[in-house]
Amino acid sequence: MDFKKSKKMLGLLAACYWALALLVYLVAGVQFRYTAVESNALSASAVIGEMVDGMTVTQTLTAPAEQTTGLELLAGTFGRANSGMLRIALTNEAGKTLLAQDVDVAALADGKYTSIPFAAPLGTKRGETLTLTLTTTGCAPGNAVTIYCGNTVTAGRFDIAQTITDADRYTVNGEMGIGKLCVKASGVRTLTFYRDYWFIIAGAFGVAAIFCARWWKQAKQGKNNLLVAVCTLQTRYAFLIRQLVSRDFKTKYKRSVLGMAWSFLNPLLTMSVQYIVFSTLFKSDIENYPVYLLTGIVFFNFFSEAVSMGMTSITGNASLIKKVYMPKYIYPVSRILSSLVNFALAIIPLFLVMIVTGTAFRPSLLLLVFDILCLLAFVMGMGLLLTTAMTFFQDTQFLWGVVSMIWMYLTPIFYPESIIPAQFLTLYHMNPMYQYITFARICIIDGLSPEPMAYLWCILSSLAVLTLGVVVFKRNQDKFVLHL
Amino acid sequence: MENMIEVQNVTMRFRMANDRISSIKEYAIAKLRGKLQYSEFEALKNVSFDVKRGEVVGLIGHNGAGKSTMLKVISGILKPTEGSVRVAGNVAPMLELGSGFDMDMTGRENIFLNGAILGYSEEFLKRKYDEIVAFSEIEPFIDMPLRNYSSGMVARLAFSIATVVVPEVLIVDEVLSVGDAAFQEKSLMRMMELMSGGTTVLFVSHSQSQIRKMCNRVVWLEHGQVQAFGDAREVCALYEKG
Repeated sequence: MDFKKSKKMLGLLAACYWALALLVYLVAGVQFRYTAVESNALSASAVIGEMVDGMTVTQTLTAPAEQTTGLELLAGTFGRANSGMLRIALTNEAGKTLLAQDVDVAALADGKYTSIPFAAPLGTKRGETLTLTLTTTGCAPGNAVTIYCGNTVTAGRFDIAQTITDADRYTVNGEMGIGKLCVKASGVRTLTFYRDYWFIIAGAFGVAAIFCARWWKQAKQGKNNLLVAVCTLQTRYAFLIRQLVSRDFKTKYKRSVLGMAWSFLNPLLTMSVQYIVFSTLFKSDIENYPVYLLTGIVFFNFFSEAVSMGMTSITGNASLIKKVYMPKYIYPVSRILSSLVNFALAIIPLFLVMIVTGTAFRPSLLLLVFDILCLLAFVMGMGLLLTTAMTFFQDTQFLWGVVSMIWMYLTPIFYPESIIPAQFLTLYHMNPMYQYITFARICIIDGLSPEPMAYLWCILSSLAVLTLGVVVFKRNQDKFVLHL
Repeated sequence: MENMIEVQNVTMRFRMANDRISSIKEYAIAKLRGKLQYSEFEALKNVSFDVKRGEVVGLIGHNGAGKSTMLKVISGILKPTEGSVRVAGNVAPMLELGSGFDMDMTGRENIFLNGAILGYSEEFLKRKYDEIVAFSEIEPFIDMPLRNYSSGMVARLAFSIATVVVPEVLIVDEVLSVGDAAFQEKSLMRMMELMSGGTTVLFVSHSQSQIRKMCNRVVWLEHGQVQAFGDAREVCALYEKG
């Protein structure tokens, strides 16, 4: 191994690490301090009738965080201009009145959630039950609004009835209603992560540095280890990998008329078809559906393409492996890197669609670097794992065909996450692809950084799979040639 | 003198299932029927020899004696089941020419691809590019895809790329006859030039005259075992008798 070049490369890697850490801090720092949370509401299916003077409506709410900052209310105006005042009062479990605020009825939108920020954030306990009381002044029949209520949740095209306890139902003048009011409470949760951020970053760096130092010492004594593999990959085999990647890329579209344009066209066409099909199939409660869809398609396509390319890398290069010596990991790594080039090209139409739909380009887009790195590590791990399996059992490729299809349906690519029944959500969120795609969507569509937990999930899932892949591959690589 | 190649007690054992099982279903069925038997096949048994710096060592033996397996073990393609192989310096194994050629790419692109696969550096290839093209005599077709080449042209290009390097250790598996008579002579000259230039060479050939002419020492392999190892003439004489 070339120690001088390796030293340079490790220095560069360390610099990249700190640059990425700083980038995340600058872009996402505010969101590490606190995070906005909102309680859920049922879907609207009925109205409570005109809110006129003398009517008292109550509804219990769960405080979403330590600070409750506002309400969102789904009102109906009967399609006319109404006047008067709506008084919003909130009391806590102890019966103490936390808020009494008047809202001009004219400010309420028809059939849409209207956000009502509080003059000052309310100190609440998270999970505490608050009682909302609504009364009006200056509203008479023919000049009044109504509030939507419901007892179902939307799951795709269907509405699923929910069981609601009596305590959760709204009341009108003390009489129990059919369900809950369409009201959401929003709040701000403070996070301690902000404080610990640099400690965690430095800690991870320290651990990596200790490992590297140990491996470096071993390498000086001529021992082979992970560090040596990574360094020689960069210093000695970079040219070879570049050649192999450019070979894959050049031959892929060599005989097609449109050539490289297929890399853009493919995701665009898939998106168009799915957009037409699914925008009529699902209630359009997804904000910015074209971008939502295309993000899912581009990210998932990269995953499935790279993994299947990586999977066949050893069996597909059998003739080469039997005749030329090079480290075995070169094969899956180069295949996956060529998929990465394809992925980079497929991101271009994503940006185009963002421009067309008027999605703003915000600094949070830079966080995609982190997301893509995690995805790449995950894909690398999967590729190494499957190519090992594939060498011993050719059935793997057919099995993978089925598994990747199931995986696709388990990931919210074209459907909204809200169709998943609540009891499966925890399990559903464990899907790493869900994590990477949701991460990307938050960065692209919402223009925000995901919560710290999302970062942690991305790192953990990718590192776990990568480590597993590397270990399994390394243990078996000497046997590959005997099975080809 | 310094040992460039050191082969110590190398045993190469292949485990061959009666039918090669490559699917989980087959595996399960074979296992259930109790038919999962392996027969072990020893391609090399306890082979030891060494090649010193600047020496030309020949490897002879009948078909299936383990010559190619031995070369593959030394090149690092196969890992020995037992024993060890140590090679000092950079090795250029010429086991099969043109490995990794892509028929859809041009001659020029293939020079760089194949060169990279053989372990050449980028700047070395750039420096030697003209030499490779000139030696292979395919200048007018260099920007055409390889699938339009004749097989002789492909072989010539492959030979030119493989032999452009002057390695410390050269491992050759009968690659000397490529192309037409004129090119064959030219390629033989190049091989001679490489072998006589102080390079350490280990090569397999069925031509006794070539072996006698070029080698200092000879390893005679028979059924995976070293039958004789020593002076070229002596071993060759033994081989011809036996």
